[in-house]
Amino acid sequence: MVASKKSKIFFFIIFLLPALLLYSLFFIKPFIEGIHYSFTDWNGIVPEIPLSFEKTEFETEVLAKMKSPKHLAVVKKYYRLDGDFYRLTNWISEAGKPDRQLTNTERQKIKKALKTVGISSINYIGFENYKQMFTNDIRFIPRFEKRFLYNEFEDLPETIEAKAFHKYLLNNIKDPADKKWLLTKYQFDATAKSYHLLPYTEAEDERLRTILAQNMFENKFIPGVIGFTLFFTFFNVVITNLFALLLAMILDTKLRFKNALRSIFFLPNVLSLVIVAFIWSFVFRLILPPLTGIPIWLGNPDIAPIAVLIVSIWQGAGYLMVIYLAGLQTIPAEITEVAEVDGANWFQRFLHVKVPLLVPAFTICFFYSIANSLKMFDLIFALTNGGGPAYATTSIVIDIYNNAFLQNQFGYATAKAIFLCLIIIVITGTQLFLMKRREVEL
Amino acid sequence: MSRTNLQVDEVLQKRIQIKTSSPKRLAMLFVEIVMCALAFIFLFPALLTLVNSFKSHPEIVMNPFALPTKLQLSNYANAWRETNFPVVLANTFLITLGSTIGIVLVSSMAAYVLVRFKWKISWVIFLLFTFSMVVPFQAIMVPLFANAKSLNLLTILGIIPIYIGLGCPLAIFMYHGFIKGVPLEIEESAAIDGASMFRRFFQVVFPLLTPITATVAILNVLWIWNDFLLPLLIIPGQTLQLAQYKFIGQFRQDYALAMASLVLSASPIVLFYLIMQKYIIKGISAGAVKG
Amino acid sequence: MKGRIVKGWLFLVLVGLFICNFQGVFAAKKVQLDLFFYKQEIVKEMGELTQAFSKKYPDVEIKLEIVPNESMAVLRTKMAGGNAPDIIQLQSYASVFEFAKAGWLADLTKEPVISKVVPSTKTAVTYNGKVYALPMDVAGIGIIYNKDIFKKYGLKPPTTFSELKSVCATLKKNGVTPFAGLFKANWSLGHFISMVHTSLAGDKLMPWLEKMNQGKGSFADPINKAELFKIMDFYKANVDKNAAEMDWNEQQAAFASGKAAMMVQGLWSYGAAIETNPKLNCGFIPFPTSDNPKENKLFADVDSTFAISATSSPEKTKAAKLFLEWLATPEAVKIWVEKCKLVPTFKGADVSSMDAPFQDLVRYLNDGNTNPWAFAMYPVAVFEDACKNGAQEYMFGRKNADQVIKYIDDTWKREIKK
Repeated sequence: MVASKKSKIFFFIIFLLPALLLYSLFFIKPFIEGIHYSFTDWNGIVPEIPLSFEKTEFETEVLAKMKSPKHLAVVKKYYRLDGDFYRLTNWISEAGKPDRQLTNTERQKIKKALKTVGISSINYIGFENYKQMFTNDIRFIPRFEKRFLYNEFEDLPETIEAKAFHKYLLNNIKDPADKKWLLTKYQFDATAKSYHLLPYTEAEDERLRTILAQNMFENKFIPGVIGFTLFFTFFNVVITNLFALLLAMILDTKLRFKNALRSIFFLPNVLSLVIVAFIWSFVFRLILPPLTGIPIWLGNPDIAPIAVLIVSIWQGAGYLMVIYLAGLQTIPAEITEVAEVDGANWFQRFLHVKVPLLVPAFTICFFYSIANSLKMFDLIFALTNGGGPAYATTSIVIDIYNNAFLQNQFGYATAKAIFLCLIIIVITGTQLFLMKRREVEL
Repeated sequence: MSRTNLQVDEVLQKRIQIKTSSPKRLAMLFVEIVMCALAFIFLFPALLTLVNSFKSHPEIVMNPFALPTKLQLSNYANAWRETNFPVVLANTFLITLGSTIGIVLVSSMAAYVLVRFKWKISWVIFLLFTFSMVVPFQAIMVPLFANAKSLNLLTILGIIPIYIGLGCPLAIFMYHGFIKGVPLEIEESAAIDGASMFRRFFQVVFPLLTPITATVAILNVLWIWNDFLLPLLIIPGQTLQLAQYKFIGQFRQDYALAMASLVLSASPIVLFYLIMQKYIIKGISAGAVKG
Repeated sequence: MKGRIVKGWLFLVLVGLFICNFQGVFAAKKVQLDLFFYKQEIVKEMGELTQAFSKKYPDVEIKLEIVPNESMAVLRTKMAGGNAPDIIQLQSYASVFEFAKAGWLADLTKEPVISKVVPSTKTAVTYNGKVYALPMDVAGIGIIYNKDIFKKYGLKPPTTFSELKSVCATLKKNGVTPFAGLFKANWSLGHFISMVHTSLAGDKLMPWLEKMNQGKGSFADPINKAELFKIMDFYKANVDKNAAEMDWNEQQAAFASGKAAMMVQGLWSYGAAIETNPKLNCGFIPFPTSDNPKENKLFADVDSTFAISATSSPEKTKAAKLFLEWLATPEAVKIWVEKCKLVPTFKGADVSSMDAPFQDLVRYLNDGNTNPWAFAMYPVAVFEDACKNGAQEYMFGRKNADQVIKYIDDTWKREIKK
């Protein structure tokens, strides 16, 4: 190129500016503000500058304490007495002009002035939010939880299987006296390999109930929000990619109606989530139970994660299929033909010829699906009423949403979002690094 | 060669063909049947929506899989009226069109200089754009809204620059991969002619990008047409997706109207997809794989 | 060459600026109010209401903003961006208090319209001695029952818990599901646990709430824990088998089709049921938790309220107040009662045209035979998260009684610390 360095820079900036400007305005700036909130205790409701003060509070806490006359003037200008309150004049009427709202610079001035007397609605709390994630959020991290097997308001179980009796009940009782007493009430039956309840009195009933209610439990592993998200991501990435690759390989052959099939497999990406969630909830309620014998899908905490996974695979496969198909079409026919002549069978051809050449497609597909699975929100939200049942399908982003908008913990929610970004960067970064090295140039 | 000889030859050849390929053909047929069954599963939601859109609400609730006993065309009329269909359709169309054109222009230009000027800063800026792909929208939602509000962008036209800002990273990523594969020679011959960078880009380079432009455009149209949360904040109730949302909620779910309005809102986009779909594969094969 | 490019950019910027502003240029002199509401069962009817208002006051135009499922998220995002809607529909008690405390709501204490509502409803909107919203409707949560099915099996509406048990047993014996369930979404179970808890607590409710808000006490304090969870178990044993997968529509369908004889719901669901099956013949009673009929009061209170944003322009505030005043006129009350099918809070409002279940509700209200909606008085997060999810997890066997109570207590303590 014959252009000078100076004009090169000029063109560089002119061409880049629109994208960079809009990107900074609507992504970078909000993101940096998000980082800022993640170090605060903001609850998401209280406005940045107080809209009103009680009369006496304002006089003693603000007016009396504020030293700088400049700041005092600002505060007096914008807060006017109205009954028992000093209210922020949010709307300013100036002669000859329509009413206008406070500008951003004016807001900043007020904020600054109030800060000098220690009044601010948003306080910095350092890494407190980040600590809370791992120490004080019982939904977030994977853990073991006691799952009680007997409810003290139920009738006492007549028989308990011997194995369960030892594992879930006897081993959990700390007091040896209780243990001994319990064994006098439940008698071992060697033929049925179970324990039977013997007749008991009214007074003993209470003691039996307490012992059973407090001690009959299993330590169940609860994946928590992180656990669910990782589970979902792993299976979603692996299965969707395999499925998509299989579809692509089949559609790359001389199949009849392959063009129609391509359009159909991509269709779930075209439909809005509203339709998708809507129809699948019918399918899970009315079609799958008779077909599979599993009566409850989306309403069962143990099965709902799998149900969500199925829909996600169904929805995502078409998109990845297109990328794999594109990758397969870039492989020149001569290469596979040469391999065929060399006597390689179908599978060898696939493994040793096609797969290495498909690595770029794998890189992209894995990157897309990992990032999107970790960020999964809309589909699950629509399918399971926001992460239910019993929190079993709450992904990290749904959890963030709940923290921010249902539980008044906006600062905490953004901290979680930043943490999620870090997880995604680490995982996709490793994946890109590992796979980029294996790419073969034709 | 006599006529009979030829015929015998043909028959023989055909026999040989059938003999060698019949197991393969059978396998092929089997695969075809399986694929058609699979296709049915993928088509199923769309079909079910279509069928149910002609039924009344009680009919749908009682049995969503039954065929309509009587065509309830009034569903469409009601959905049309209640969503104020022509207006929201025009809004959605305007937003989608404006944003997509914006994304295509802005991203192709940016990606072009990022590829062609092999400076360190280009690489850094490219990474900066890629970064947005790992951040969930919910993380920036609240500050983004405050921003849009202070810039007076809470209007139908105001949402367009926001879409461009949020949509350009993926588009730049795809253009970046594609432009890397475009040979330099054509451009250089244009440069010798003394064409300015601008003219060179729009007259020479941009036409070369058509396959990937088609893909970027299609993917963005799909996204923006079906998007929900951003318009919900910026222009509540004024796009197709939002207007029909009132049929499906916690305390009022009118399936009949919902189904009809889903068909109404999805048909333009499905039609668009069917017309454009051949470009998707072409474009992705040209671009994304080289990411 | 460069000059042309710069000119081109300048032109683009100018066009952009023009586009951003043209909406302002064409805005008429009409005052435009944004009304944000969450009650989506009355979308159409709200339109009629605001149109009737605009007919009377042509220079005020009200734009409706309906956000059904994510209303709180959207409202909060808007407020965080400094863009509160002019008129906001809020749920009574905690939601009103929360926004009033943050300073978002205009003080309505001295507005004439406030004196027109039934005085007892004001507690739901009064924070620190000032009224911040106009109570709009009274709703009840209880048992909606199918009178025809009851008649068929010779049953009487139960007034005690024992009677309810025997009614359920009879229904089950005849192959009728006692309750149409709704377990898939958590909100209905949230209402249920709070309703039973309030009923069991009786007079101890208010002192207990005060103690909780001081950071002392536990959810189990005012009641016998066993009774509460026995009733939960009883409810679980008497709903449809697949209640875990039933949402609003499925519940309405089960009840409207006569598969189930009762449903524990707010009366707002009556409209949906009657729409599915117009021949339905319903009654409405409290969910009995005690064997003393006098202790079984209807769980009814102020539901929705209208507040005015404190950040709206003076002009808009004036117009918004005009709208609230107009709501008390007979014309507006008529639309509210006949179209929206909601029980108004205004003194002497005529409700004679409403269906039988509403008459039942009004009778309980007039007798003062009601329990307040305690769940609306809990801190918002306690109800939205701990109660709703806790109750659902109990029903799914994921938490036992003590774990549910601990979860509620912990959330409560965290909330009041703020």
